[in-house]
Amino acid sequence: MAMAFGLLLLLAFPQQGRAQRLAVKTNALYLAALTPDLGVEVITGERTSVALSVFGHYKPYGLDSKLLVIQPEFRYWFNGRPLTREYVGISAFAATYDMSLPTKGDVMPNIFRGDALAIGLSGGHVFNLGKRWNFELSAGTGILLFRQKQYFQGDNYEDYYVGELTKPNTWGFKIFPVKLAATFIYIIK
Amino acid sequence: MVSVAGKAAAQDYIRVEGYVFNKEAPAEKGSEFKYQFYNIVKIFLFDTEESGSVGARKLRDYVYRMKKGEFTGREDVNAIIQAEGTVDLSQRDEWPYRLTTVSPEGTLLFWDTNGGDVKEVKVKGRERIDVEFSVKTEGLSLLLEKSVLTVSTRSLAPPEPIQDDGDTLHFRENYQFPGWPVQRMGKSDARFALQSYIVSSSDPTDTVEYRNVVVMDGKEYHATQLRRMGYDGTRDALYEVADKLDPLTDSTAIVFWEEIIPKNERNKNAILKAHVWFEDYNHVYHSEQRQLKELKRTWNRMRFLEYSLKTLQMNPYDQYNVRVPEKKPVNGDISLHIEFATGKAVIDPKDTASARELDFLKNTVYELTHTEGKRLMRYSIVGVASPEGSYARNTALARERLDYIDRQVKNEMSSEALVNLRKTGLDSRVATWEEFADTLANYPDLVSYAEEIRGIVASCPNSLDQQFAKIRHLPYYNTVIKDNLHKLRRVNFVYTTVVYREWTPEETMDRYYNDPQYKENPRYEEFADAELWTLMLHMKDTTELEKICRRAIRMDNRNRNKKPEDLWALPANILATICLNRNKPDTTILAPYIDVTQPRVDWEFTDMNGNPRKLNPTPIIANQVAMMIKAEHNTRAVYLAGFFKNSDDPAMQQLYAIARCKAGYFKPDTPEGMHYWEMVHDSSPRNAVVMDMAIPAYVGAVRDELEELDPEDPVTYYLKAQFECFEFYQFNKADKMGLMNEDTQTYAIRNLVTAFRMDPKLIEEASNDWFIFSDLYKSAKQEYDEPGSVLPPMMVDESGQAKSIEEIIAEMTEEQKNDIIMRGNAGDLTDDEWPIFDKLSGF
Repeated sequence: MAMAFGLLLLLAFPQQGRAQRLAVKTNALYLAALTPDLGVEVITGERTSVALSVFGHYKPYGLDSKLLVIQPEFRYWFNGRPLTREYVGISAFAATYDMSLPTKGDVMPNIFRGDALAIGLSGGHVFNLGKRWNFELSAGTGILLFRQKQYFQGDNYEDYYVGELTKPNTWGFKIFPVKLAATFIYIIK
Repeated sequence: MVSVAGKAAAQDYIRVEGYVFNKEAPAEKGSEFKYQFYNIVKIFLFDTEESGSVGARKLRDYVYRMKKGEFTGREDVNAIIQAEGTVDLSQRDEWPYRLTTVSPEGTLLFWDTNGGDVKEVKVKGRERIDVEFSVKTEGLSLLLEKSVLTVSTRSLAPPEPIQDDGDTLHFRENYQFPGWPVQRMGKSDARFALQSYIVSSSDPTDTVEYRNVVVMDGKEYHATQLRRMGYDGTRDALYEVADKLDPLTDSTAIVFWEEIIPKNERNKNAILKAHVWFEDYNHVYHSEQRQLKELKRTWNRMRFLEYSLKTLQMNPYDQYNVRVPEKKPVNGDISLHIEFATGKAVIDPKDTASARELDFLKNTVYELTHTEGKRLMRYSIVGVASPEGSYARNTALARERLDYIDRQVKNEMSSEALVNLRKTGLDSRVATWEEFADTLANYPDLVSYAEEIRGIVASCPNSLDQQFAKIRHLPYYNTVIKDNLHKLRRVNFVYTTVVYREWTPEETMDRYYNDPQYKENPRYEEFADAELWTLMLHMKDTTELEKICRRAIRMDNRNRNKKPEDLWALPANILATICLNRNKPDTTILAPYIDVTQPRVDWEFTDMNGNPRKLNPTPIIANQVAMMIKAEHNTRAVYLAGFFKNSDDPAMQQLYAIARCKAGYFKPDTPEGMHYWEMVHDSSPRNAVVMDMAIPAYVGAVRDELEELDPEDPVTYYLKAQFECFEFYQFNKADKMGLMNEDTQTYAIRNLVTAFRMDPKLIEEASNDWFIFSDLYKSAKQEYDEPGSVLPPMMVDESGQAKSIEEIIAEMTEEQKNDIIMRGNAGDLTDDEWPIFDKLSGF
């Protein structure tokens, strides 16, 4: 579903026929968090571009956490050149996660297992490193809608029958960061 | 608040730019009060400190008297304080950089028109001058306290001298970024582009041509531009042109580029302008059109060089040019209609038409065989008989009749012709009934008969006799058929003759003017080379001679693969001399006759077939050089004239020297250059002046040499005026007569006016001449149109004798007299003028 959503966003914008500009990128911050990230960005106009990133992790640094996120973004570049200097954007993501965050002592960890959708505003600045390389600093915040199965402290797991182990029991909205990145970008063409 | 910086050079003028800043605000931001400021503060300029002091005194006096109500405030303050010109800061569009120039030893005078404060600031060559103001405004809520006017002075890049490269003008142009160093126009995400172009002086909308493009990209702009073009720089023409080694930055202040402009005497006066723009990613943040240079039509130091370009003739009798008569076959075909008596091989005496035809044939043969220079080589007679009667009998009869004709022909031939006859042919045949039917079918009312005859032929195709037997019995045999049979009978006389003798001049002329066979028409007979050669030798009328030469050239050039040495040079050379004498140069005439890859003249050799050849004959080369010089193709002329470099002929050496000068190689900077420079320099007094004026280091000798020139020659006075401008420009790098001292101005104007009076054609010359300053030209033209309007009365006459006061007064206009009186009353006259004043005032 999330993939379809991202693809829809990508296809929604007419692409420049002549000089199709395409860049790939990776977020160094996420890499540092052992959450590999790979994205593409396509220039869609004199001042606009569309990006799509996918990142996720599986038990990084020994934490019991699984995450997969797909994050499309629409960007508007202020200074007339895409992939240069400042932009603002609308960023969204769709995520699925399963995290067991440890608690003190022997008490059962807090378990969060579910899906989330978020949409928000982002902005950043891109530095020109060379002919094909850029470096981007960006951040964004927005609203997150989540629906998850959450095990609260003191829950007795054995009380839950099998079907109930994964049935969502919580949903809600949060103001949440949608993006934090220090990205290296390589322009392919 | 004053800051001291470096000094500018004593001779240079400096550009003054003013910016107003709020004292508290950082310098880069500029004052938000500037819009009010510039309406209030006026700046005056003085070239010297003394005049600045005088001006300041007068201005303070004016302000005092204005406050007392003595002036309404509408007076021309400039005139009162005699300033160079007010810098009016109210031009909002140009704020904050209002450009003007002031001498580095000059004075700036600031006047707060509201409060009356006058500040005198001596420039002293400083680069930055801060002047503090307390400007109060009435009726405005804002108080302009402690505004700082910063005056930044930048040395103007001195004008680069223009190099004269013969056919081109070569100079370096520059564009200074406005507002630098306070305003930094260059940015790393910007592009600077400059497109220079030439417009016509008379019609500024007429763009003559686009010239250079100068592009400087900021580093980031350049990199992102490449990305924008999909990493294909060729998609952006300006990207390719951008200077890769020198990116645009905020410290870029001035841009230089080379202009190489072809000189062309036929062009109009033009102006070199530049369209400049600065653009970043979003918009063009500055653009302007700037006038760079006035390109007058005539930039030619060698304009008044004296030389004569003689035309050289070729020897028509030398082995390469003479043309001997050649054997040339001429073919002819005479068709005759001769009727013989029925059944006989002789003509019916009553048949006068056939007799006439035979006589014509006999006359033709007689003429062919008795004309000197023509020889009958061969002939053949073809006879056709009509088909009535027995085929065998017809065949024999046809043969007999042919023999008869042949005997008649041979009777007319001379014995010599008979001997020389190579071949004869007699061919007879009998026409078919089919042919007869075809003949009848040409007539609409005889078509049915033709069809019937065809039917008979078809019924017995192989036997003419059987056909005749049937046709004979046709009811219309004795009428239609017999009446039309004669159309089949004919005799053709086909011959070939050869021309081998040179025609006499009279014969040649006669044929040229009268013989229609030789009219210019591809279907007619052409003159042989020998005939053309004869015509060229004897034709006196140049119009006809030109036509003859063009015919000869055309015929000679029919084989396009001929090399220059194979072509017949004589007609081309004659044609070239005609054009040169008419002063209508055409360099295409002689071009095919020159091998430019062989830089020598009169090279004789034998070709593969053993024929003697001569390449690049001297007259051809010399005439072509003359043609090129007249057509102002000077660079090509000097290359060709170089063929004479090693010639012993002083005239050819002189030609080469002249061509060198005209092409721009007039500098004696090498031993060879000195040799040719001297050759031209010593060739005449005027050339001495021209050559010395062309070399800045020799300028000192010119003044004396000018005195040696012919006083009856208007060019002498023109050169004298030109020299004053030239010398002034050399030493002062300024091209305004108004900057010269008064005596020099008067001298220059007088000489130019004298030149105009002696030769009015020099007026247009002067208006287009780089070396005559525009204001000198204007003053001289005005004096020429209205004598006395510009120049003071002459104190001495032309022979140098002092004139009497009465003579001087008699030549003065009323205005000049009034001027003398007024200035005399003010005590402002020269020593020479006081006696005139006394006389006019009645003392």
